[in-house]
Amino acid sequence: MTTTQAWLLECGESLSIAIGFNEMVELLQNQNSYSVPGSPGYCSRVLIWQESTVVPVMDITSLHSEDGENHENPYICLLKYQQAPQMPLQYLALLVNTPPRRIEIDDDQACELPEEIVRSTLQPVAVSCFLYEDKPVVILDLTYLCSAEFRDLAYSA
Amino acid sequence: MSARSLAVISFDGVHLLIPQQAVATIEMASSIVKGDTPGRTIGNLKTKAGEWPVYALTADFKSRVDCPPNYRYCVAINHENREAFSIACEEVSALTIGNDEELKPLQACMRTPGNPIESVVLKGDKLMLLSNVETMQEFLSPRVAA
Repeated sequence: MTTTQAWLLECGESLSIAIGFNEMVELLQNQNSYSVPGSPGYCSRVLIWQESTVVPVMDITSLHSEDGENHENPYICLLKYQQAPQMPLQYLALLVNTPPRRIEIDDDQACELPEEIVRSTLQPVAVSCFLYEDKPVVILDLTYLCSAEFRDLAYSA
Repeated sequence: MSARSLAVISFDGVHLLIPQQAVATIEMASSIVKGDTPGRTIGNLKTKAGEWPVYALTADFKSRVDCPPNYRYCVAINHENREAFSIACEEVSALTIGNDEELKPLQACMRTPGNPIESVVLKGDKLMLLSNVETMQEFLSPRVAA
């Protein structure tokens, strides 16, 4: 049995995701963000991190359900990913409802993707799923989530 | 690398950057002639130098049907190969970017087809949005495929 460390992120009442332990950079609160007109609805703002890095801010709940969900006072998780080894780090800010929780996952927690994920725009970026505290938690491919290919899929959905 | 001279066209909280060399003239919005105008325009800017269809945009780049009273200026922009256009705005100023490293390209996840914004630059507490004349014109008045 293999145990892996990850971060559990609650993006909405019905959407929990997990990201790799090393993909988390920082939890941000009270962070200014700026609207960028013409960009997709699920990723229409940017924030400036460390005074020089422009980071897209993504609300993936709008990809999960048509209604989306309101974030009254969301946290922002700053995540990092690489398009390929040796490539520069890229950053993504994800709106979440609660601070991330560090968890351990075992292979035997694996489960099928929930039907609502399979039917949603998020399906292509959902790598796998596991049960945690009796709730399905989806593991996302951040590189593909931020790709032009997925943007076009989401845009045409 | 040469410096970039840009016009900052501000409206509804947006600061749009367009190459300054493309700006033909800046006129008062009172020079806009309203009437039957095509597409998403609110009227025509008529001056001795020429005539430009006028667009008034919201913060999310949707077209307004009227020019708000605080949009007091109109920036006429020329395009060598396509129709010229003008944008109504609250303020116009100049900005010089001395170093292209200041310009931060939008990541792929934000660059939807037709998005006229290429990159952004932070100046003080303002995020400025860089476009170019061709993509802005295409965004405002898309060509109809033959």
